[in-house]
Amino acid sequence: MHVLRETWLLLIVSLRSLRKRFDVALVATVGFAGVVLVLVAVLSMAAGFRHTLHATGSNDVALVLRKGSGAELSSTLSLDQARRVGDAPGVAVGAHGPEISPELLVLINRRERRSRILANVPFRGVSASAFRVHPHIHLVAGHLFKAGLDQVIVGRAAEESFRGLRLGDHFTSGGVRWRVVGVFGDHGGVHASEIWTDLPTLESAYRRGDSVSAVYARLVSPAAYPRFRANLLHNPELSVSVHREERYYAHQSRGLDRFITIAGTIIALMMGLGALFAAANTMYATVSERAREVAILRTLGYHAAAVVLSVVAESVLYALSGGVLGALAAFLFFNGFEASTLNNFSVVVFRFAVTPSLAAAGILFAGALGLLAGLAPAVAAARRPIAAGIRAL
Amino acid sequence: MTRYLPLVRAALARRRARTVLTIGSVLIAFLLFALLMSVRQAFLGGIRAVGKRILITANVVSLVSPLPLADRTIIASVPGVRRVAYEVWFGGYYRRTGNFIFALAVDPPTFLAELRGELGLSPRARARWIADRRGVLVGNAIAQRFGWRVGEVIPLRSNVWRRTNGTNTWPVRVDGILRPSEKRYAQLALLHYHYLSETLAKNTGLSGKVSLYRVEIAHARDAAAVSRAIDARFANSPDPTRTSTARTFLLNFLDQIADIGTIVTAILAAVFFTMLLVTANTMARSVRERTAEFAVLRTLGYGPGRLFGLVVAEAALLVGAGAVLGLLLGLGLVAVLHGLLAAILPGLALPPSSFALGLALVVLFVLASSLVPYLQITRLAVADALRRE
Repeated sequence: MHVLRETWLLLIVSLRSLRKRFDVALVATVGFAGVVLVLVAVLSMAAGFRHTLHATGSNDVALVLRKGSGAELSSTLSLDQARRVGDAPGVAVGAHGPEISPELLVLINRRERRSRILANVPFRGVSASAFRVHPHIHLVAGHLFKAGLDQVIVGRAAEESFRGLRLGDHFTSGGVRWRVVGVFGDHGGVHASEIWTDLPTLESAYRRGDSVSAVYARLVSPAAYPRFRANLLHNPELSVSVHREERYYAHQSRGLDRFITIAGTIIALMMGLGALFAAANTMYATVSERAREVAILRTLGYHAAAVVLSVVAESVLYALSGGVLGALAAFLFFNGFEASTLNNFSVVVFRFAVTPSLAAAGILFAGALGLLAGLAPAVAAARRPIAAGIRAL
Repeated sequence: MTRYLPLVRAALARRRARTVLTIGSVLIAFLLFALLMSVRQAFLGGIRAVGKRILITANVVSLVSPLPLADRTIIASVPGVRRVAYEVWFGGYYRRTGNFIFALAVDPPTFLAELRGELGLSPRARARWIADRRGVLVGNAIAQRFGWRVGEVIPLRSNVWRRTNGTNTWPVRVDGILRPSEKRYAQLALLHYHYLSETLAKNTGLSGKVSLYRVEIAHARDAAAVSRAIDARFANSPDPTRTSTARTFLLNFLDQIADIGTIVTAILAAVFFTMLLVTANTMARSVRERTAEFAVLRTLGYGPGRLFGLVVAEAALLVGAGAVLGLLLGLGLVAVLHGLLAAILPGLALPPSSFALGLALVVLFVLASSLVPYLQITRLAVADALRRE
């Protein structure tokens, strides 16, 4: 208990003389802030992308693709095959028959508003059933497209990011002049980066006959999936692969998520080592300046452990304040920052997500670095012979 | 100059821990610099090498929409065009869909003629493949990854196409291994277009279609004019085109994945800003602690210019040592990572230009971190400083 009280007093005394060492303290703090800023910013990019893909699928919806195609874009099914999916057991049946949604996915070039890059924007042809199978899709402005009138609705992220996609705008693609008549949201999912229109119009504009890319089916319950899947896989007239929608989208985020997380962690660890050096520098300066007062306190009976603890505590204090500053800066500059990448050749717009857990992880990381940085100078301070300390300066 | 060396050495030895730690943080900054420049190189490096006389003509809708094969003769008739090659995206994989292979079905003679020496292909393998309709050329990176040898027959599968027999597997014989200088091609697999088109299931929509054209032009300076001329020919056809240089095409694709350049620059800016603070602070402290020493040197006849020279020499040693060590360590680390990440990130290498950039950064940091000490020295009041001792 004694030691702790002495530590506390030593720390207070040290902090009171902070003005003299303001420069070194600032360097240490800013060093930690830089590390945490980069770490949290990079990881928030991975988190944002992950959230977008995880927000897309539900676990009671199944996705049927052609066998051998890993993604919607490379999959083709005939409308006839698509209808058979509705006959499989486990498909929910509503007032309009089986709840299946045959969809065609085409990519079209649109210029990004800010960067002027030509992006591969997904253009999806759907029928009325799509809005029952994907109930999270909701109109936020305008109205739904009317079949055969070359009207489209655009996802909120697509409207923001690409030229010619604002409500009321026209754009030409596939020889058709499309009109944007509505804007929809997807509760943070990938469909918000897409353009939707009615299936036959899209099929004829891009000369796809009556083919579709995929069939989404709403099941009576998540538990109905195995039976549904087994039935389709064993149907000799179909050659398809079946996925849970939730897992299909979540799976797509894995590669990039892992890449960013590993790269970000390596960068942060190395920057952390640099910040650790800077902080150790600071603490060496501190202990050498306070050598005399530490020696006097030691003669008065202060414990060596108290000296060690107080120096480490001061270092951790710089680290934590730097960490908080860095996390705050990451939140201010990067939270909600809009970016896009390609996922299966299709553009996905997502927002950086500086979550509380990421910020906390960053601050804790800084704290650990501060602890390490304080150790060597602290031990050096405690080990210094008292006589030498008193003579100093 | 050598006369001052003992002085500089004494100054750096004054607080050994500080010197080591400062060099350490500079080292880390330059190590990160080396790593990030290598990553940038892996993504963007080969782009400057992309043929300046190659144009890409693709469907205006997007790069996944095909173009008619008949367009070939029309493009070839555009003035300034020397040769037209075409390719079909095969969407290849080996055994599992996760084992993705960048496979293209091409017309062998024109494709090889356009890429010439870039593919690192022996004349024998070249002749063998051109004569072998069911043959494939594979980059050394994938050959190594799957242990393929010349002469072996590989069941290559496609996630896009189906055969007349209902499967998506094309058995192909490895006729040659590409050993390209440009790492991008080390991931390539090349099939015969005619093998694919003749075995393709009827209703697949590919019959008589290609993914894109690679157009070689006579003079690089005509790229813009020829591009416009090609697109004008197809403006009123069912499949209008968009033509750009191969470089623009590739850059646009990479930019869609991520703005690697900006990300790398932003991180390095944060790193170097912090490092500048550390070295500048070290120098300022070191000079402040030695105020009396400097005053003595002044009375011994050292002018402010020479004193400043001492400070610059000290900073140069600190930053220079850190930079050299950091870059050397970076070179080693990149070499190790290059081996480990060959499959994910080929072409990871520190570009020679980063040494020049590194040197420029060193100079910048030495000058910037000597700034505060410079002000301290010029304002030095000798009598005051001596009295303080």
